[in-house]
Amino acid sequence: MSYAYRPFDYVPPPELRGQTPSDAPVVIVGAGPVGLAAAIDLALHGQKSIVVDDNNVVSVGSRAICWAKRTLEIFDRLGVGTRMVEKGVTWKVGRLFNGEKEVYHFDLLPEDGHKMPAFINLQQYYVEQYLIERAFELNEFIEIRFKNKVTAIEQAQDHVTVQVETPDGSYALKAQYLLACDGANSSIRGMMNLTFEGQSFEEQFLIADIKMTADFPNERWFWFNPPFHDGQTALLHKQPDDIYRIDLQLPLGADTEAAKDLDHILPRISRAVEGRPFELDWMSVYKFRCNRLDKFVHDRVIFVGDSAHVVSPFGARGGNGGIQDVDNLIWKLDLVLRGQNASLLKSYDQERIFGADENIQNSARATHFMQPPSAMEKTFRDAVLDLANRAPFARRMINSGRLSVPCSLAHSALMTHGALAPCPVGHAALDAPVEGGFLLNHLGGGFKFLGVGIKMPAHLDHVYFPSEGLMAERYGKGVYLIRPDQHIAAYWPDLPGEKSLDHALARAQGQT
Amino acid sequence: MNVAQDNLGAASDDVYDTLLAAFDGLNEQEQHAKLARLALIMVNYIGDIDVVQDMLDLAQTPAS
Repeated sequence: MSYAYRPFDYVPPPELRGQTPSDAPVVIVGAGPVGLAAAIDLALHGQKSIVVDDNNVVSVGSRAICWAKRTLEIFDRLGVGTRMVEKGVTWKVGRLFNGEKEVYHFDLLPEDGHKMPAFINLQQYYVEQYLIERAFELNEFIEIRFKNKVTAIEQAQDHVTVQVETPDGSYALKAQYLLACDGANSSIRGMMNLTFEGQSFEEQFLIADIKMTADFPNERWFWFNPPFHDGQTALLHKQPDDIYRIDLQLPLGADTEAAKDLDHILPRISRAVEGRPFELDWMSVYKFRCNRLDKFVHDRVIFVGDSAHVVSPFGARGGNGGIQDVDNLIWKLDLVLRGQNASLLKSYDQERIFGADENIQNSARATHFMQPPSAMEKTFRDAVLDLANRAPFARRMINSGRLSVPCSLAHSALMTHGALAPCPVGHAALDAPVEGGFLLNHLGGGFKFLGVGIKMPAHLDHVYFPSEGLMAERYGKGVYLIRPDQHIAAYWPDLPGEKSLDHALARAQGQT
Repeated sequence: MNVAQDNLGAASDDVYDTLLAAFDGLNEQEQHAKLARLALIMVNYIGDIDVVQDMLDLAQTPAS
């Protein structure tokens, strides 16, 4: 493969060398993007964790490739955002075809005044590599144990214990909390016999990475009824290193093994790339489903990312949703580890179940548009495609996956509502250029007040920026309370009394 | 807005005739496709999800 996989060293754990067992309060199962981001975020809060993973390499194949702006902002807070953006590919032009015919194309003009782009394409193996390297920098707090596989789990009143199998035998690992970041086929979920409810789709997709050095436009091409393939849809997307992702939806009931036959697949790809020479780098077939756990917090075991909810891949909501879970959970877990009542963790359930449902709804809609499940739905879908090249309104209805946007937490019990804010309560804070950099680099990690054009008393933990330019446009004038995950928890158009500030802060931390 | 009220008045017969004529000479599949396009165009022109919902309610076969 094009990417040089370097296996990470397995080191016999201290428990099997007769050394003092770990005192880390958190065990994280799974060293994928979600587990690694969780470990890094915990470390930035000064909390130790042990990450166990049954494997010792980064993601095989590109897998999650599209990382949305909000995720990049979180990665930036974790210290890896810039590196990802530098390596990643940003496309702006998307073309939609119906059969041979181009229905229309669009140009996503970037909005000014944000540090991070709307999204990048970057293979999951790079994302994991950068996160692992960042975790190694924080080795005072993070210990990653490769080739350590959890085989059993047991919860007690005030701790959780897992049995871990290694090449040198097995040992018990005890912690205050366990984060199950072990993906869609979560073994922890299986061991706990939790039902994973939802909808399974019959559709199968063949996804392939090809290496193509021939000149090809840096665009996203999406076909309905592709002329080179008998499935319903096809997608072509650029990644770094001259790697392109091709997704081919397989006809219903297609034989998976036959679909992977190179004699069958290569000519189709060749037609998609209009005869340019290419090499196959990686290929996989998957069937998808939309499922989620009834709740994500099970006493001392917390499900994060795909282990808690899976969505269809269109719209980039799997990886992005998982990173937003981390962003939402870790500051709460930190407060709980510092002695706050564990009921705060319930807000992770409330806020992220809402987010997961929004993601599931969006991806189910895209799936239905791509593969209409009934004759009537197909009639409407085809009507939209037919109208799209002559009626702008219909273009908006074409759904080949909606790009993930952060969900609003306006309904969360942790929010304090009052005057209508220009950047509304519950939303993730919008970035804006400020003196010497960007706003978001001044927010997050802890709770902070943001004074926009309003000076605040020095003893309050706050940042101040004048209400001018894009700051004025996006924030108007007023005082905002910003959570550690950069979501807005309260807003006042004028400086309120300290009682109001204290009350909002206590509420945002689940203390009222 | 009451979606059941009469807005066409004396033009009713002409409008009805225009609607029928639009589907002349089409096979069933083409008729369905055109009806779907028409529905989309109308829904967009109305531009108000509550009004559209009222129309869908009115279009519902009444329970007998």
